[in-house]
Amino acid sequence: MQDIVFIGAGAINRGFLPWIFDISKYGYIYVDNNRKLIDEMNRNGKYSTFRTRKGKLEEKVVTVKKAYHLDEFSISMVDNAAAVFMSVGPRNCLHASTVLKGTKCNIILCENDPESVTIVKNALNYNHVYFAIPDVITSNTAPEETLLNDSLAVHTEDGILFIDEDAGNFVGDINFCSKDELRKQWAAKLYLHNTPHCITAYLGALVGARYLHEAMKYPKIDEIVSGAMKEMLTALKLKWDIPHDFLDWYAEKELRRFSNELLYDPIARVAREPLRKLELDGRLIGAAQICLSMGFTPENILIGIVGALLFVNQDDPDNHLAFIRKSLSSKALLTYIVGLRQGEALEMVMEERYLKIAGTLEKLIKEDSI
Amino acid sequence: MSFNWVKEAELSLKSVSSAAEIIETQYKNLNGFRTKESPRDIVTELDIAIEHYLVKELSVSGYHIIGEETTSDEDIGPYLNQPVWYLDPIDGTANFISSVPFYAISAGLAVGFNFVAGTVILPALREIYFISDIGTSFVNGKQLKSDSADLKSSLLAMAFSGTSYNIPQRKKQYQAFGYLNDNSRGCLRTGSAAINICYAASGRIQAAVGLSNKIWDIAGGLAIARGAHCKIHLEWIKGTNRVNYIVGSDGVTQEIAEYLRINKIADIKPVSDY
Repeated sequence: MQDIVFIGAGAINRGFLPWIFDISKYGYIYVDNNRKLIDEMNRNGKYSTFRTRKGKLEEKVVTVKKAYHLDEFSISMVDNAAAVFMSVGPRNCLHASTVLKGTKCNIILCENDPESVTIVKNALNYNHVYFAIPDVITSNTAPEETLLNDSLAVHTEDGILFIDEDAGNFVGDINFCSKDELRKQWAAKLYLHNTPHCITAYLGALVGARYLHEAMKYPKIDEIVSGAMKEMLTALKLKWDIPHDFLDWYAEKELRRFSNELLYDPIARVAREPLRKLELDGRLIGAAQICLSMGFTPENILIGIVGALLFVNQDDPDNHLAFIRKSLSSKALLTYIVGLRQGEALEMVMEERYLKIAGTLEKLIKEDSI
Repeated sequence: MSFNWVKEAELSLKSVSSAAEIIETQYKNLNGFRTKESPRDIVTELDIAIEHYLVKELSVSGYHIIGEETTSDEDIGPYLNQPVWYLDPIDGTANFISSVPFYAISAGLAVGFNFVAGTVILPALREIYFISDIGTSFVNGKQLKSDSADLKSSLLAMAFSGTSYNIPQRKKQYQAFGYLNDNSRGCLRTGSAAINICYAASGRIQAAVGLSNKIWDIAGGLAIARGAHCKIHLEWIKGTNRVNYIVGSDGVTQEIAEYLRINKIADIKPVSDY
């Protein structure tokens, strides 16, 4: 039996991908830098992933062949790997890829950033590295009553995995697709999923919500998130030659997802690393730039950008943002930290509206805090 | 480990970033300059205005403040074992007046040889280096962390004083510059010691070396380097406001220190040895 090696034992690798493969055909090997998680996987030898489908939960018990801490793993320890799936967060790809030196199988990156493929290829001097898009929302946890029985349990949606067709040498319920199709899926994922998804999280964090579906219950948050979705839909239809019915279907599907009460998608997970989510070509700033370049001001996305800048979570790697915000003027924050150029359209619009939007969001906190 | 200088870190970030706005709003109205100790040692009215602004802002801390434009050698000694702010309103003024973007505003707080908080801002390059509330260093929000390197695979930068205080010593300094330039990937002279050190802290270059530099040129940078876990070798030249230093990656800093010691150019010890 061949093995599939999962680098990262978080939401996608632990919760979603086990639904994609036939468990009887592959052994599952997990690698993560969370010692507690790895010890628990080895001790229990299995865990449950719950999939929401048609309003119901399905359970799959996943057998863990072996789990390793990242510092103690090398791909040479696996004789017959069918593939490596990496999902560790774009910032961690470079470090995580060091354990894959000498690999001979395909490496599939489910990393929410196509650039990560280049980073790993260069780090390993190895060409068989491919981009994949998991079109799914997966929590990295489960409701408390489930965790009492199985602390490794996770909840996921019934999603689709899109992988570059050149990587197609293993078996599973996978949508191998052309690079053009992958680009289309990525545009939809980045701007119709990632953009409104993180805006929901940042606004939810401001009112003290714990899970995404809780945030969407606030009418004002629902209104802003739906508004951001409409803005991106308009921009994408104007900018790219992507079938409009596909974009409309995608947007509608996403809004339904955010409110899915069975997912228990933690806001802390979705809002994690706000500075990465504020990258110039990313889901917030990049999204706003596309709208401006198409001739309109994305009022709701601007609210999302300010929401990201206001995000506070002491456990977040970017928590120093709170310290920065206290000390810098809005102009310095936007140019030095976000990286906007002085005098460009988005910088001028943001500088003009930052304080007003921040004030509006503070009102939201006061009125709607849990 | 807790960081005890949160308020000071916040104060320096706030003050230095605000000071940069003085440059942004007033540089177009800049009205000439004058030289001080040498043709390289230049002061503009903006140097004076920024220093006055920083002194006013940082004085709320209650600590002594030593600035480039308002301090003489005699001011240094008595304050070495209590917190002192060292300011350089524009480090790299010669670059500044020539529209070369390598200039910085720098403020650093030190207790003796321990550089605890500081900020260095490069207005023309839109970079801000600072110590956060947990004592770690960042540039534009991205954390800095020093790595290790050897001399032959390192890019270096060196800074000298604007004035030759001692001709034979100056010759040895240039001898060191030549040696380092020829035995590494090159040795830059950016014209700003603060920028050299910040670049070393960010890993763009592997070491910054300074001989007879003024303490206010480098205090902000040394705080950044400490928060990036750089190796810091420092020698305070007794009775003056001048220091010799090597800052950067493990390995290369040690190689440079040994070269300078063996050739009797400077004996610069690691900060932990003091």
